[in-house]
Amino acid sequence: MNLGLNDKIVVLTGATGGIGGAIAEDFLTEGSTVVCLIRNEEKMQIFKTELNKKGVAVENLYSEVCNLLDYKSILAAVKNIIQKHKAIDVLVNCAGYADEFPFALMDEEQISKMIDFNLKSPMFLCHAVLRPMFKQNSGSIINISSASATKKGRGIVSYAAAKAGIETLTRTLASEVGRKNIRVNCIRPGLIKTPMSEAVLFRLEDHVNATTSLGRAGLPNEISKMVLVVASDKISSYMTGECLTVDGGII
Amino acid sequence: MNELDDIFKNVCEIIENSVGIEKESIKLEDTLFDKLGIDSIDLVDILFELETLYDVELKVSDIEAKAKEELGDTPYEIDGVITPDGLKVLKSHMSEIDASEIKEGLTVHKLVQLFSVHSLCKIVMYRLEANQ
Repeated sequence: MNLGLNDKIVVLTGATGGIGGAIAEDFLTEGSTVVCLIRNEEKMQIFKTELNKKGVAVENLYSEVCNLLDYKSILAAVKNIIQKHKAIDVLVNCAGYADEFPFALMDEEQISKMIDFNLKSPMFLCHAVLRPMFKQNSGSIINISSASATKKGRGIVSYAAAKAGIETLTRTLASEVGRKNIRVNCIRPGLIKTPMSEAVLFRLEDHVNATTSLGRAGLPNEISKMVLVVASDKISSYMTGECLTVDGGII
Repeated sequence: MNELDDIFKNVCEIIENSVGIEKESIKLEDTLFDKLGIDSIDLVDILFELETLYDVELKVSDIEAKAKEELGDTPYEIDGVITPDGLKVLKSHMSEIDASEIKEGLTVHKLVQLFSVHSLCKIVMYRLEANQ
C-alpha cells in the first residue's frame, strides 16, 4: 500500500537508537527525506554504514548537529532544515533516556536530566516546528511515549512522569493546532528489544513474556511501522491527539 | 501611502484570508478578540503570515518592549501583573488601546486580548524599524 510518504521531509530525533534507527530506515524505504537531529556526526556515520549494508539507500538521509536540550540550538537546526529542504512535513520525537533507579535515591541532577531529555526537549521541538508547519498549513508530529506512562512500576518514577507528560502534550497541542491541518499523535510502545532495554530484558525477559499477550518483547520495526501509519496523511488523516498503544498486549 | 497604511492594508488581507472577515470591513481601531472575534490560534496564524510576508520574526511581546525600554530598571510587571509604572508607560505607548482598560490588575496575558488591528500593525512596524 502506498502510504504517500515519498518526498516528505521527516525530522527525527534518536535516530541512532534502536527504535529511531528503524523509523529512519522505514521512512527512507518509503522514499521520504529523513533529517536526523544528532549530537555528533560520528554515530551517524556508523548508522549510515549499517543502513548501506542492509541495502537501504541513504542519499536522502541527512543530519543536523543539534543540542536537543538547548532551544536556540533546536531553532537553528529547524531554520537550516527549512533553508535546505523547504518544509518539515513530519516530526518524530523519538530520542529518550531511561535509567531504572529508586526515586528516593535519585538526586536533583538525575531527576532534571530525566525530565529534560524525555519531556522538555520534545516539547521544545514541537514548539520549534510549529512556525514552518503553520506556514505550510500542514504537518504531522509523532511523539514516542512508553507503556510506563500508564502503568505502575518501580524505578521509573521520573521517566514515567515525563512520558505521561508527553502524552498530555500530544493531546493538548493537537487541540491547538488541528485547525492548521497539523496532526499530533503519540505511539506508546511496550518493552522493545533495543540496546537501551537490553539490561532490563536480560533480567526480566521471562516476566515480560508471561505478562504480554503475545508472549514476547517487541521489535523496533514493529514500532516504526506504526509510526509510518500514523505519519501517513493517506491513512491517518482524521487521527489527532491520540496515543496508540503498541505493546504486544501487556496484561 | 505611508508605512502604517501599507501595513494596515496587508494586515487586513491576511485577516481576511485567515479568518474570513472581509478586509473592507476591518478598521484600524477594531479590537482583535472582542470586535473581530479572532482567537489566540487565529492570532498565531496571522502573525506567522505577517512573518512570511515581511521576512521577519514577530513576537506579541514586541509591542511591550518599547514600554519596558522606557522604564529602564523599574519593573514592568511582577508575576505577570503589570505594575502601576508599567500601566503608565503602556498608556502612552499603546494609545490605540482603550485607556479605561489599562487599569490596576491588568496582566500581560490579558493585555494581548485588548490588542487592536493597530497594535498588530505596530508590532510589524517596530520589528521593521529594529531590523533597519
